[in-house]
Amino acid sequence: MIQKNHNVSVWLETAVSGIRFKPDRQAVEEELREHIEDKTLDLMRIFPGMTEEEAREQALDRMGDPEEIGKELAKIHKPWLGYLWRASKWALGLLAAAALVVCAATNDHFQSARHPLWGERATSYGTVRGEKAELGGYTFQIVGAAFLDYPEDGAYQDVYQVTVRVSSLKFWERIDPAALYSGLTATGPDGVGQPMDRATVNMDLEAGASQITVGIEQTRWDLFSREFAIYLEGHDWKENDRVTLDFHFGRGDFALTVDHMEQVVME
Amino acid sequence: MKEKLKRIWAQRPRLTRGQKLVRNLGLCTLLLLWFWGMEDYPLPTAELEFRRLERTNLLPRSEIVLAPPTYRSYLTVSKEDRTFVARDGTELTLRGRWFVGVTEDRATAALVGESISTVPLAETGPTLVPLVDGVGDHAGGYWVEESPMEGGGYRYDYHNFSALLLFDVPEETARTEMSITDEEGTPRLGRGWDLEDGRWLVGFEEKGVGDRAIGWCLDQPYTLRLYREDGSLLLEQVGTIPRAE
Repeated sequence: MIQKNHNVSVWLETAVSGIRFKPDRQAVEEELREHIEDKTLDLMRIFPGMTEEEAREQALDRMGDPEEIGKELAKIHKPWLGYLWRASKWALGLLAAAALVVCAATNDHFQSARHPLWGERATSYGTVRGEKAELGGYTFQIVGAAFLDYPEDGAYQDVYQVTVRVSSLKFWERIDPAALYSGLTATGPDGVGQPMDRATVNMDLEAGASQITVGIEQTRWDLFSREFAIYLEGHDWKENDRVTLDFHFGRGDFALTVDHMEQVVME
Repeated sequence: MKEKLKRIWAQRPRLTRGQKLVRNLGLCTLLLLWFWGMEDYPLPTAELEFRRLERTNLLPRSEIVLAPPTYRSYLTVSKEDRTFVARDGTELTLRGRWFVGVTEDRATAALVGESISTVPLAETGPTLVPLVDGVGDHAGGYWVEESPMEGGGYRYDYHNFSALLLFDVPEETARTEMSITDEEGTPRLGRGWDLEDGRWLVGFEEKGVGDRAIGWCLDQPYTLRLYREDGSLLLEQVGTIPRAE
């Protein structure tokens, strides 16, 4: 019996010796072993007079030449794919663990605290699909235009808010906000051009309120775009109030105009 | 319920090893992109960072006239440094990795990872570029002076300075001097170091400002004097230190 099992082991070892990726070798060896056992049982059932050793011997004979089988198996089972697959499992596991540690450490489950991949700082009003321009791989589009009408007796004053989205498919090269701040001049219905490299901030310390009345701020950002709200002082709202944004960059100049302002009554 | 879940699990689509590999590599790529984004998408070299700053500020591509020096190290092929060695051997270390480039009509100065700005090129004579970042801070650098001590050994003095780059300086220039009247009306004298190829770094020593220099010199009138080897005056240029845009 030991001798017969030894024969089976030798046969299996020879047959799988060409498979270099160990997990594959073990799986194929197990499969072939089961196959030999099935064949042995079949033979014993068909030929009741046959002993187990004889049946196993016959089964091994019928399986074929182990060396020939080994060559075929070696051709089918490519070791690099197995090693690559295993490496990918380890890499994925390590990266996932690192991501979990980062999430736990920053208490931030979808983005990092240092450079959030997306976020929102202020609200844009008066959603529109306004004028669009392209420059240097960036698309500039007006996506909001509103007259923010604050209560007369409140701490805030009425302003025009025009929102511009600057988008690019190159998520690693989103526009530098500083470029927009230094290259943009906004002209309101009063016809006065206001450079956006400076801001007028209305602060009411008693009410604890601060408001940009002339200037620009980044309101939202995601992987492929940044949105900026441009503020200009507002007085008497008219539906067809016009705001023009003049962009001046080293690579070129263009202007975007919006001539419909939605009145938004603020509380 | 448990059985039902087991059944659903057993019916999941079976992936081949190749498909599993593609899935794993895809997930790894996504996670790596996420980590890259968390660090604000750093690029492998300072020059690539500078080029990206140009693009994200919609500036035309410039020809580089000043770049962080590189040197070979034992572990890496080259390493970017912030220390320039002047022709006279003085080691000048800038705070941050600075690039200066030239386009048709402007000079671009960038502090990698921080800010980029431009100044107009001088119509005649050398162009002056203040190495001051967007908020007029964190600029400048320091040089170290080594002197022997009486009882043996050496003494090292660190001198902080506000830095300006001069380029297109005539080759025969042997010495550079620049005087500026600062915002308090006090005349200040700056010294220049030859970085070769017509580039000079001009520094105004800063005292009592710790390790930071400020953009005090912007918009201030200056007089630049270039001298030949024999001490004769080669060029005198008067102007205002340009404020970067």
